[in-house]
Amino acid sequence: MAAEVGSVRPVLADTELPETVLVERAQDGDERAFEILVRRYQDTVFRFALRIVADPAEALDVAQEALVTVWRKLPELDEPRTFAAWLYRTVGRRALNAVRARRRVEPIGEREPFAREAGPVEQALAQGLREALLRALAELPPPQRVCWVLREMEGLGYEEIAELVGATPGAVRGRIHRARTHLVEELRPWR
Amino acid sequence: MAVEPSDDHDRLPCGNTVDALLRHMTSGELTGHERTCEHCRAQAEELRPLVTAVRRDGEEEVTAPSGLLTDVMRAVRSERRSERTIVLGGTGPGGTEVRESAVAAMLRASVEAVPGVVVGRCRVEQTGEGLFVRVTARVAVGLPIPDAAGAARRAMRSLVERRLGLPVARLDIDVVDLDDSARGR
Repeated sequence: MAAEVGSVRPVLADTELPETVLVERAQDGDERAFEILVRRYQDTVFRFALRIVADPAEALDVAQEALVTVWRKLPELDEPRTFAAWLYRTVGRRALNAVRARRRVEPIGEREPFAREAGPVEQALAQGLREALLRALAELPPPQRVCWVLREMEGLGYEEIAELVGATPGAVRGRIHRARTHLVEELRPWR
Repeated sequence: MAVEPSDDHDRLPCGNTVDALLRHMTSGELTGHERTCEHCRAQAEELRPLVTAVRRDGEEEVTAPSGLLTDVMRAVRSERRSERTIVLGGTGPGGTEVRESAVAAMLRASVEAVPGVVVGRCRVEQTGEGLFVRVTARVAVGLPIPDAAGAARRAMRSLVERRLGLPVARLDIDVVDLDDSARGR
């Protein structure tokens, strides 16, 4: 067939296909195309989940559940171009649900991710600025931490965050403001 | 600068917002005002450790645990979407059926030999008149679309007729985009 329009070219590897093509193929049930998408996004998805739930084992659960949900709902996605944003929202919702479920089960303050295993070694490590930030973040009430992480670490807009967390943009601004005040205070020694 | 009431707690005496200042510090693009204004400079001093900490966290490579991909794909394969099959002709007893997804994969693969055309979605349906095929395609920039679509059509028709031994009732190609990356392939 190729001879009719030009010389034969080497067949392109699937991994080099444009994302929209992979998304459309995955929508049709092409598992191989979906696997390429998962490979491409798994680190981003895991990091995003980890920042919200602040616990590696739980972030893994969230990432896995979100990606399987994405596979199930892919046929409903109208515009393949918006795959990344849609994936992001799916992971965000899942992670938020995990945080909320945990709050129903555990009294506030019982669990302090990142800080809970702090022994002498961890204390020493916490001298670092990044560790201090993670520790200070873990102390925040989850709604504040989530809004702040989405804004300052993931770069989402107020409207987007409001939609994700189910609050008004004004409430989101307030939470971010309070979170920032706490974090700035906790990081004062590094000034 | 539009002032939103909800911004008030965030506003410096000079009118700038802490949020805007933080954005500019993060991106390393302070405005002329922010570089010289005493309120902004004092606020920036307070925010600096936070900005540095966030940047360091961003530089930290986070890799998904190796089991994630395996587990996701295992779950995906275990809940294979129910799908129909295409019944091939031939003499019995017994019959030959091919899953629609397998036929779709073959159709996509048949177009791989056509330079500058990539098939995305591919739907097939068997009717009494033959096979209905509907695909979306991207064509390389600069390639005459009728020629490219014609070549893709011949490739798919040949596959259906020769490899599956079925008549083609209808074959629709929906060119959804021009593809820069497909050029010269």
